[in-house]
Amino acid sequence: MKSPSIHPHVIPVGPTTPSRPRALPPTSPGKRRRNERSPSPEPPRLPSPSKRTVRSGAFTTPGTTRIAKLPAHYHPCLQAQKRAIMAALSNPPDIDMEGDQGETPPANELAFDDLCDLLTGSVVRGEGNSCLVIGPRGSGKTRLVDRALSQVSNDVSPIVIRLSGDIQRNDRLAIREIAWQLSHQTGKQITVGDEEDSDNPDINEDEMEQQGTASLPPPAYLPSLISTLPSQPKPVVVILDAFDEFALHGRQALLYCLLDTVQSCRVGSGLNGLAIIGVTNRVDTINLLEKRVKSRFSGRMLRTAGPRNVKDWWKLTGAILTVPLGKVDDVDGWKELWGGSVNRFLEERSVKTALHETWALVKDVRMLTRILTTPVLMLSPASPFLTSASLLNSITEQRCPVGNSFLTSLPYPAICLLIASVHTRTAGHDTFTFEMLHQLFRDQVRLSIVAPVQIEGGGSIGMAFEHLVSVRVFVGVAAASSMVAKEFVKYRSNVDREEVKKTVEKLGTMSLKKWLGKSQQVHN
Amino acid sequence: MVLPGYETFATLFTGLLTTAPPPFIYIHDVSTPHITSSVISSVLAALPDNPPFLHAIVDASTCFTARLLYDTVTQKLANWTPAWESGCQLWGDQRWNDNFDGFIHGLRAISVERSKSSTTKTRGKTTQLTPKMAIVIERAERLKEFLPDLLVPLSRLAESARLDLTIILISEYPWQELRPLVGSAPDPLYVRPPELSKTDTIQIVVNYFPQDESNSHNPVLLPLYRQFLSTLYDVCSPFTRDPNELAYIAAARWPGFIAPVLDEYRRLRGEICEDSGDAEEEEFELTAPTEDARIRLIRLFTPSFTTALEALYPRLSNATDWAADNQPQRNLLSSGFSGANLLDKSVLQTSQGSLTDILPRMSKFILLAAFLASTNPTKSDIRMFGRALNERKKRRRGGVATSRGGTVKIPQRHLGPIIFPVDRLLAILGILIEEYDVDSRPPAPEYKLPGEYSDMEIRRVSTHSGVMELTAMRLLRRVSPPERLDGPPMFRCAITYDVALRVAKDLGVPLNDLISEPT
Repeated sequence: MKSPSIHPHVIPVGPTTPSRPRALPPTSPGKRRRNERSPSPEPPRLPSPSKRTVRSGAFTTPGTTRIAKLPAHYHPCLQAQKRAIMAALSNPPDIDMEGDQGETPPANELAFDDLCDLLTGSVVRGEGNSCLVIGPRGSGKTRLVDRALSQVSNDVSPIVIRLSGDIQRNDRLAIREIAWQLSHQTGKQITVGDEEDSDNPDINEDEMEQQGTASLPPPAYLPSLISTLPSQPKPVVVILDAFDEFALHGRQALLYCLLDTVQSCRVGSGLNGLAIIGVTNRVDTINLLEKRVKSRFSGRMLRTAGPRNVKDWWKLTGAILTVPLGKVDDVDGWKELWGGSVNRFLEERSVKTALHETWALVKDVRMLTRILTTPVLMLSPASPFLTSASLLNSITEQRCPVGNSFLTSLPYPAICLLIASVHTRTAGHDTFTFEMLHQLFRDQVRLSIVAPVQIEGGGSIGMAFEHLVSVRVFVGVAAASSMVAKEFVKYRSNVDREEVKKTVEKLGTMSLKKWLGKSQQVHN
Repeated sequence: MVLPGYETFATLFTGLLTTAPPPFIYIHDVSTPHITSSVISSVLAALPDNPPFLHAIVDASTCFTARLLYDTVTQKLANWTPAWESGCQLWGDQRWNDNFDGFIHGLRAISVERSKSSTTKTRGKTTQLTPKMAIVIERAERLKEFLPDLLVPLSRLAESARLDLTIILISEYPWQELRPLVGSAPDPLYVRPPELSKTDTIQIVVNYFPQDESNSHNPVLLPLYRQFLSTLYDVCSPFTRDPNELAYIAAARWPGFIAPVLDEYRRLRGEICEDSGDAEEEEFELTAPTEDARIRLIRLFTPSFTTALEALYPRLSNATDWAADNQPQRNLLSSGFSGANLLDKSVLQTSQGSLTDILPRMSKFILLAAFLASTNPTKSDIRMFGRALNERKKRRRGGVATSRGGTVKIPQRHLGPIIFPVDRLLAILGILIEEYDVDSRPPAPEYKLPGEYSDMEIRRVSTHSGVMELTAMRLLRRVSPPERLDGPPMFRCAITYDVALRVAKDLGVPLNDLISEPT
């Protein structure tokens, strides 16, 4: 169980359609509108004359209305810069988060120090340790653990066992995986008696396996394998991703055994250390643990968080976009040219607003990287610099993709069926059959003088209906059965009235508008 | 070669995959997912091989179990084809399909294996290159149906396998529909496929033109084919803009469309051969028809495009049969034919329609009674069919009936047939034949009581066997299981209103008067 509330698509901030600008920063609506209309609303005062012309007089930087072509000797630089930025996007650079005087350092730094201490305790001194790393999605949990591990591994490299609650859906699978990873990292063969089914390629079996509890391994395996962990030749670090999923396993046997072994791990008994690191984004994970498991858990919880204020967010954006090139690719003057263009890009009011909005909605760094990916990729010698238009475009697509933006590309009969479905809903029927919509459609064609679609045969309109079903605009309310003829299967529409209205208005067909308008009259 | 219209998409994709591929990409394509995936496969195939880029393109509708998915992906990534001679052995020294862990181990093994074989030398030092991987899953919406547990692990595969790997899902559903409600699937990078314009679509279909030297696909005719497609697109585009559908319709119509030109060519060649005498030597090239002939051709055939669309897009017929049925008459161009009735207006008969014509008269009555029993609510039967002494006028509900609460009542025939017991069917049948079959009966002096004849009729074995026969023909559908003995068997009518109307007309029954709700 993960809490959905931190997900960008379910944030309860009302309709998050990107087309409607949110008034987060206090700008007047008039200004906003002007900004959106002009893709590069750079006032002429911004670029200083020294920056405007670099090397050649014919070349102008972005900000002026027309972007000239990039000089040929910079083309390799642009390519190299693109590659560098893409690499930085997949692995964002660390920046020093801004903190006011006297404020505590960022959560991730604190957590990093704590985690390093804890791992050092286990790896160097041979302690048994357990902790939970909790933080929202994209706040750097996995990164934190990896960084801490690599720091600790400088001295002694531990055996690292990585498990994920999403993959090891029951303890039997988890045990197999532990044994496999142990044997691969130590070179010793460890069997947990799971050979009995490996010769039987029966498909039903792994379905049964995924059912979980039914095929739990005998409890005897758990202690016997896990209690060997401290006696391995090297200290062991077990990382449990999606820790909350493990808490849902039967009797929490794996967690119990792991934490029990950790607790009984004593310094100086000649054994190596063991550390259990649970990673989760569920805040109440500790409450999921049974009492006997909880009492064996150390209770240490490290919290991670995304960028704390919008300045960090901007700084990170700047750091990603101006990532320095290697010595080989750098050409004299490119760094200044590129840096200047990025600065101007980030200074643009619409860019600032868009980034601020994004930060206010999701403090997920991965979202930022996704938003920046397409504009960076689309850079070419013909348009060598980032523009606010491309960023806004990308935000519309990535931050909260409107699932039904394809409605306008639907064929004509499909739009007619959508309007008919709106009519049935207005008439008080949320579910409908194909026959109902078809009847409404036929009536409409009969009533209106202009009948742009022939309906004899009825095949095409049926195909349109099936297309709508196949793209999930119409969703069946009951499982399909062979007893019901397919024109009488009940569906409901996934698209609400407003969206249909917008689509019809965008298409601009008069007869369709009128037809949709009729349902409005009935409605009122 | 990149398909027209997809240039920007392909550039973007190549850029993504060659620089730093994101771990998870989602492509939501409602109109032409198959074309998008073919573009992606051509992009993947064209990627530079240094560092090696392994890719697997699988279809989720064929990988309906986890094992199938794991095996298909690993075999394709390893570029391994099981051979019959070697016992259809899969790649690797062990099985990778036990569970998701095994799958990940398999991916790692493939990566290690490939990095051994691909090395690069920089400054005298040989370093092994870790291959990049891409796994494309088409029709990913099927995953939700068959393997819902795999969606989260798949979306985080790069992270859990610790490989440079990209998962690309192509689906007709938006990601919000697929994403598990509770779960930690990360958000993908959305890539939007382009919308094809008219010129792009036509160019894609033109690319399918076989270009062999046979007459109907002679390269000389390519400009005419383009013009033909343009007209076809104009006719079909309100319904479908899918290039594959257009190509299918074009494939059915083109041989007929070009036949007059070929006839003309053969005629001219025959004349020339006769004139010169030596048929073998004379090379008479096929030329494109003149502008005037083209316009005439298009005008002649445009009406048939609509019929082709109506028959072929829902696949009511297949291209070969349709082309054979709609061959134009010979020597159309030279005969000065106006084109008013180029095609015999044979109405497309549905299978049900032709079936009802061969039914015996009694079966038609049974079918009609079944339709009425399925359409009228049970409580309206007395009102509709009752024969009271004073012969009250049957009152049908007039106007738009509203039930309580203000919602408009939907006629039953739009909601689907209701279930009825066989007794009700027989009762309605009795009324029907009493009312509408009296005139066609042979004289039967032995029946003296009014209605006795009909009563006998509905009790005959042939009537019951007629019911069973109609059930076997799937014109009636038996709802109750045959092994149930208590209670009458239940049925549901399976013919449409149109068919019922045709049957009623055939029998002289005013069907609309017998339906309790207005049509």
